[in-house]
Amino acid sequence: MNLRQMASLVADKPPDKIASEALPAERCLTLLAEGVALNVPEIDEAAHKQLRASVGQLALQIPDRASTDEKLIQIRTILHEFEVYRQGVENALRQRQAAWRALADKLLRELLTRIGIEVVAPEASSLLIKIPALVSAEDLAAYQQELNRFLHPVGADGRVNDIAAPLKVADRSTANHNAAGLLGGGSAVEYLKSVMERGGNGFIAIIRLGCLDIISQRFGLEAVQDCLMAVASFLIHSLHSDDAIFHWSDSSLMAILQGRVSESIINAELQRIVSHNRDITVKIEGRTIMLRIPLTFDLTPTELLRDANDLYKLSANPEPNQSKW
Amino acid sequence: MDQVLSAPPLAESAKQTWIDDLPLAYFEMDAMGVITCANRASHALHAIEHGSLVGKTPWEFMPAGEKERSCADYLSLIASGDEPLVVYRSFYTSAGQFRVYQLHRSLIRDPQGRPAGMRVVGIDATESTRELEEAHQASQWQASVLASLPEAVIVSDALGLIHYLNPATEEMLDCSAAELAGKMIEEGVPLLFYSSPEQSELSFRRALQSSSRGSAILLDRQSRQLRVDVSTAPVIDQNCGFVIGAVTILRRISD
Repeated sequence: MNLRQMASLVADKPPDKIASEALPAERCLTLLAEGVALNVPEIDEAAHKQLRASVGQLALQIPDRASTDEKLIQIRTILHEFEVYRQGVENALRQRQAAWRALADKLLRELLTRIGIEVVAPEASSLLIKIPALVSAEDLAAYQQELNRFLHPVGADGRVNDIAAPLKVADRSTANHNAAGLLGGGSAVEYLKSVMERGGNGFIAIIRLGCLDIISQRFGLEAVQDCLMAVASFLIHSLHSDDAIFHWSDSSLMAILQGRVSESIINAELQRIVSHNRDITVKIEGRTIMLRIPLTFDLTPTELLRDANDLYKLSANPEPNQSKW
Repeated sequence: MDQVLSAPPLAESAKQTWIDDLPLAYFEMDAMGVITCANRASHALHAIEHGSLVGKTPWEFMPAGEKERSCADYLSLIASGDEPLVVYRSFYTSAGQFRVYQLHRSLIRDPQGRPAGMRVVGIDATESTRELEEAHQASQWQASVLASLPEAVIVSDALGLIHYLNPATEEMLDCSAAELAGKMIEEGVPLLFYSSPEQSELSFRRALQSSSRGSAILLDRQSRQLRVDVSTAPVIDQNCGFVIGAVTILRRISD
């Protein structure tokens, strides 16, 4: 299912559908719950202010010969250093949060596949965004290890036990971090498989959005999603009606362009799209803010792919013959 | 394949009619710049009957200041044999005013390939060049105003990346605009302390939302602490009403 098809389904899928389904993959759910339970308290604003106040008091109590102005300067220098320290800590937390989110995304997708819900259901993504989880690096590593053991259990003879590893047979894309985006990584592979089976030729375009880390930091993940959706929507309206568009990763979209022969025309088309679409508007606290985002794209003929799973190599290793804007 | 793609050759008389009916000014010149043929539209350049342009040079219709340079350029092009670029030239027209023409040109070559003259198509670009010039002047004027402000002005885009700072900012922060351009505003202008009656902190996100005013201590590029008044306001696109960035104004407070 691609974004174009999804757009018509979003309205009639109730958000609580996931919760109302029977959950036969209890182990998967347990792991997910354990992950959520691994919360660590975030440095909050109140604690920060309290710390600032204590630092200030301590500095004022120093009975030296320094003038009040000099003391104030000392306090402010200490506060500046603390700001730098706090920013470092927050960045580390943010990174761990992103790693956790990707992991939880993977788990939830496995779970949804097991209970027969469409993997790209948009509700799944919005649920994940709402999980406020911050885990320590050690917890995250241990958790990931346990997940891997669960997904790929090894029997006494050292061979992977398919019966004991029901999730292994799920869509490969769900086990690939490139497809850990909100929607459709696995669907892109499935879609391309069907295109290739029909003998159709065409091109794969990966459209990458820059500065999303800054947007995430400034305005949050919802703004990042808004940006991705804005570009996706523009692609849907600008490309041919039989072209399929997918979320490919946290910062990229994929378009599978069928029945096209001229690479130079598609190149020109994509150049026009990325140049028109650099200004993206997002709503932040009631204000519409126009963000100028650098967009780039890679274009690869489908003939160069041995099979649909080669899609994963595209984002990891851009080929030298790919067009770059 | 070539036969399919290329247009069939026109008879000389048909070509003459076709060129004569062109809605664009077309004329040809010899190696000395004398007009050898001109279509009907090119006669808008001068209020005389069809055919009378022949034997004249285009420089006769140009303002005095352009004549010599244009003539020299033409002769040098003919001498070099290089394919000419598109140029803009002013001509006195039958409407009694000078109009600017965008000239698309190609060399006429003799059988040996030597330049023997030039074909010229002229498109009236008076309005567009005037608008461009006015926009350029307005932009220059605004840039000059910003550069002349005694307060330090820093403009960042909606992502918080510094796009512009005026000379007063360069002087205050002891750095060049190039050093700070493209940096995050918090990194380029680090505030150690901020206070205002409305808020205890100044965040960029807040600066995008509404105007604010307060006092602060910031670090210049040499890590010296400066006491300043800070005013911020969102930059709003006048056409669409969207916030496209933030402007920060710093005013030094004497210690």
